[in-house]
Amino acid sequence: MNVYRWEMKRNFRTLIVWTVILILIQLMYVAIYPSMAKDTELLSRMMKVMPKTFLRIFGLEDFDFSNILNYLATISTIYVTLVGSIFAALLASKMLAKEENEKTAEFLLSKPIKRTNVVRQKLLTVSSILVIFDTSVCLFSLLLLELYKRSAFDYTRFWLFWLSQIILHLTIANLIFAITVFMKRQDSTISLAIGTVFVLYILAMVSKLTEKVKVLGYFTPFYYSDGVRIIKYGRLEPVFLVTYLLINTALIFASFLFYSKKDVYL
Amino acid sequence: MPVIEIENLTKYYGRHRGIVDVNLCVDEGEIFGFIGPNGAGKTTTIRILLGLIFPTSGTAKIFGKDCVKEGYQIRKDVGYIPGEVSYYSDVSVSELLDYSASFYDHVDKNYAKELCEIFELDLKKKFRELSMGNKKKVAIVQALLHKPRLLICDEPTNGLDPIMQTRLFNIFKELKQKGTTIFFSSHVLSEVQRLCDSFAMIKEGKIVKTGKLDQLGQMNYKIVTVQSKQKEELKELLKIGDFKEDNSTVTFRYTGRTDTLLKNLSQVHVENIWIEDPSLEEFFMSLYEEGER
Repeated sequence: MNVYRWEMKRNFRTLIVWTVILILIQLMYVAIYPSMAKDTELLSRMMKVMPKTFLRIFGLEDFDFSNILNYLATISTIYVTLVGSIFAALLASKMLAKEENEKTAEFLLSKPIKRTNVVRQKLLTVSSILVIFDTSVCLFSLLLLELYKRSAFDYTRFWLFWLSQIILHLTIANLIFAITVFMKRQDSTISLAIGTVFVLYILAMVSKLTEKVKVLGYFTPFYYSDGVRIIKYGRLEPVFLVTYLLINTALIFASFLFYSKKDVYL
Repeated sequence: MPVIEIENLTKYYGRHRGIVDVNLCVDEGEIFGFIGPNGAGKTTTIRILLGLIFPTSGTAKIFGKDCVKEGYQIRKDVGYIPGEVSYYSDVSVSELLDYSASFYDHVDKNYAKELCEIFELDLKKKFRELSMGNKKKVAIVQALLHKPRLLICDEPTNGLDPIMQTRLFNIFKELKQKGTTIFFSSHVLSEVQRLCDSFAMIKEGKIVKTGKLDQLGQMNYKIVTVQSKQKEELKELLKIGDFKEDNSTVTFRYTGRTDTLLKNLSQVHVENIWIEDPSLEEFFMSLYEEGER
């Protein structure tokens, strides 16, 4: 597990930075909640004047802001879902690509270590970091909810929301990791990673526009882990969980298989 | 017992040639020089041996094990000094060496320390702060600290100052005495002549010559340039047909005993003389000519 320890150490600072940023953003939004909650009446009226499609994209149709969980979930669809996914994508894209880009792969792969073991330890690093990241932000979020809540909220929905986010981040990471394994040269990995996240995110938004394009949602994990829907209905559909399981198994399997046979050009 | 056996090894990068039909055999305990100009396929061959890339066809075996299937077992006993050293830039030398050691089962810490002293390494410095030569020294230490049975080096002296080159060669000789096999690529002929038992020459992806170094010595000739007014007498004396004349000088290839050459030269009036080893390029040219004949 020496590669795992090495990578954890090297990525620890990035982990701290991203966690702190997310916590600060949450803190900022929760801090303005009391003043928002005072004017729920006004806010609801304002929402009614906004275009229907706009509200639908952001999941704001008939949403009750007097409950802090609803408020935080809506905000989190941008900050935890999107920013967290970008972190996951960057982390995963760096894991292997950096070794090839900076030619350190020559060092690593000339050591007595199997390719599959490299992938195993690197993927383990990515998942460990993401779990630490999400757990920290989640626990801090819980603390904020307890501090600022005006009425009781449903804990099950809270945990479900965070479960969906962790699964989403892990899936994004596995996807980007598999892409970097497939890529021959790693010159544009980072832009590709961020680009992929945005395309998938926008796809999920578009799918919510009309019934006609709803099917598009099935092609993006952002649709499966739509925080607003999960908080609203209080359930994470089993069909999505099964899809997640299949996608991740396939991605991890592909990474192992292709990295074992990959010519590492330096 | 051969340590490295390469049979009909071919590697194409898409349509580009890497190496074609390479056959090599390196015996246990010898120092093997792999000579060739830039882009000839030396690094490609080495990367296949290390399992960084996979051959298009043919086989490569180390310690009798297949480099593709049993690379992990092989690399336990292999040390590798890369041509261009690029390691993790934000860690210190000692952290890097510890990381390197963590891949092997038994590492003698004292030996690692000894190596660092020989090469005067500053363990506290970050890798990115090191000069090219110092990076190379880190690469040498990390390749040796687990006492490998086979040492593979890609242009090991590249970037080292003459003092360190000598220390490295002394270490090579010591290792050889202990039975370590050393395979190193180079484009400096004198280096190979000084150290190696056997050699292989590669050009444009193909092996053009293999053999023992004493054979190389037989082929060895000098490039002699003489400045003299008695050019015609000189030609008659030396009985060499292939003269290149340039104003007051003549240049020719001389094979044979040096003292005979000097005796002959003493009979004419010599204003100036240069006796040089052939450059690798010339060496290759002569090999090519040999091949055409």
